[in-house]
Amino acid sequence: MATREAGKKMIMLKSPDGMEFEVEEAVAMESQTIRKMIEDDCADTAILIPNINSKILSRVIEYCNKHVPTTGATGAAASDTVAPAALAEDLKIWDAEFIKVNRATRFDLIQAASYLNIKGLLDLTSQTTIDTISDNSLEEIRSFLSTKNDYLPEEEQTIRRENQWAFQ
Amino acid sequence: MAGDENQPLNDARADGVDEDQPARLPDDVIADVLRRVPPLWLAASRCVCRAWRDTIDAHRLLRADLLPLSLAGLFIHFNEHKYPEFFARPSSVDGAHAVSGNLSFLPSPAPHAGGIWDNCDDWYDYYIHDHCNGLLLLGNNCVVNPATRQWSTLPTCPVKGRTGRVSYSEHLVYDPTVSPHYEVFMIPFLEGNPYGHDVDPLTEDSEWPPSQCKMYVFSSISGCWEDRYFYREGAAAGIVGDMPEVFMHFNAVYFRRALYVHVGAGFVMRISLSGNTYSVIEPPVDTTSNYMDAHVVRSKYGVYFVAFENSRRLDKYRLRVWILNESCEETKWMLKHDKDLKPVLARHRSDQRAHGPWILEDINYDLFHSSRSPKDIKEASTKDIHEWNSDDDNDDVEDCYCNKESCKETYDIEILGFHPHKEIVFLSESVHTGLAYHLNGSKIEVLGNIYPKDCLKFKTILNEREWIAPFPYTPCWIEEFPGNNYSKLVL
Repeated sequence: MATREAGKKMIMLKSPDGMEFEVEEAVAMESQTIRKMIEDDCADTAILIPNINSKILSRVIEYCNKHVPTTGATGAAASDTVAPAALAEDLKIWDAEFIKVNRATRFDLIQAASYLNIKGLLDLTSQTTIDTISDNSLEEIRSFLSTKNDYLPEEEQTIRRENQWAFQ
Repeated sequence: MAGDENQPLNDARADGVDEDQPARLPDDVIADVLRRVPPLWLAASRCVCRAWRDTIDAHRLLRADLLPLSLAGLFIHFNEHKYPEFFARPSSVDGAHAVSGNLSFLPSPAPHAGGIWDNCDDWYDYYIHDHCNGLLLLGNNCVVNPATRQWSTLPTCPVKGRTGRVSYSEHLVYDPTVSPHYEVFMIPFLEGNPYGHDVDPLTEDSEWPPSQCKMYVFSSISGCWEDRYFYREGAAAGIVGDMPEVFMHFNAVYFRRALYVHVGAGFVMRISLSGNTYSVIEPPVDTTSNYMDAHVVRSKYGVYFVAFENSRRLDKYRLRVWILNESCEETKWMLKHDKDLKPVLARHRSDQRAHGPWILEDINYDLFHSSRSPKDIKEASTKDIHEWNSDDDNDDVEDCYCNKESCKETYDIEILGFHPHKEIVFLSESVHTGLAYHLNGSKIEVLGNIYPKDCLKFKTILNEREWIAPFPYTPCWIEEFPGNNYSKLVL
């Protein structure tokens, strides 16, 4: 298991609800967490992915499958027939489709991307949250996150004053 | 925080089914998401709820101390001096960050050898064309952060030089509270045409600036220059034939996604970066007179216009300051201050400095004329500098400026810059003394000597008057610098 045989080696990923997914090693290694396990020789049989159910895990694998040929290949290994710019454009469209999920699923995906340490997926899944934070008022952010404002009014004023520059 | 309008959150609505589910993510996952949020919105996110504030604080996600939010001092570049000098109050705080005008870390076509002054033909390479929130744009086409010593060379702009009467002035746009990326704008202005030998594509009676104004914009995201058109809203400043020749330098400030450029020829261009539009703002006073030193600056309440009628011959030292009011439909300059500085300058008692003076770094002397060992120079160039807190000074500033000849009749005053957060104008007297003029109370405070050591040794013509390029500097200590990412993309 210690050596890598480009794109051939298969890895078994197991979700806590008992589903098994056989994926190419290169695809699994899109996840820095799994990469580390493989490189540390901790992946002899199947890798159990805790806290990520089969529904979410299959979406994560779908994402990694799509992204594996271009990420980390620094353009050189990109397809010979398709221009890199077109390829990137195609990926963008695919990503946009991929992220059309309900909020609960997106939050699960964020959590999975964070645990598995897949930067691209975390960027993608976080984006809506980041956009919400940068485009909306505090009340709207709270409602988006189903979070209650638990500050006393004077406390909130104090917090604002701590970074007055951001509220000018 | 942006967008207080009641925009519906499309996502929350579209989700429907899980609308009532609590959207709880573990603390470290929230931190992973918030890590991607720019500082401006992180600061707002601390107000969302206690849990978020605790997450942001526990992971130290918001580093306001690294942002260009405080004034460290003034950069002053003397002509024929290789590097800009840094003028600031030495820190009394141990471990404070160091700022220096020593730009020797930049690649130089003529690196100085062994501390011997080589007449420094390349000093213009280090001339600061523009600055924005801690970044400098230099004559050698480098964008540099002198605090973190990171830099990047811009690819050659498609226009450098003039076409007919049209030239371009370059301006930096950088706001690390929103993005680590910067842009450089090449903005057209009209020069005189004394020789008349250029073929001028502009007819004398066409509008200026044109209704569709072409600019060249460099973005550190793409790593390249692109043509961008900005469409004028409102009237033009006039017609080409009536535009005065521009001799003065230009200056610009960046405020709330807009660039305000004072193009010298009697108007201010407000360029909206989000809307690809621009408008012409008439200055509050005619600025084309030779005696008028006019600047558009940023300070406490936004964009200010400073006009200093400065003539030793006419014995005039009238300082006027306006604040731009954009809250109403029509933008208006509101007069904030109108004062003849002569009595203020003349009214001084004996030398009573409440605080130690600011110090000029004298980096050029240290590097090129000093007999000190390189080790001493290194130490000298990393003097600790901390924020100048003028609040401490307010009680003591009155009358503490002492002019040796108390009845001196004329003054040689230049504007060094405007405090970015307080209503204070920095002035120089006879290119020797740095002064701070507080608009509130019309008080003057002596900051210290700004005249470089052994200045004569740097001069080609000994009796030539020094000219200086000064500006107040707010250092940015953020390590993330986009230059390294696109070095591969440019030739």
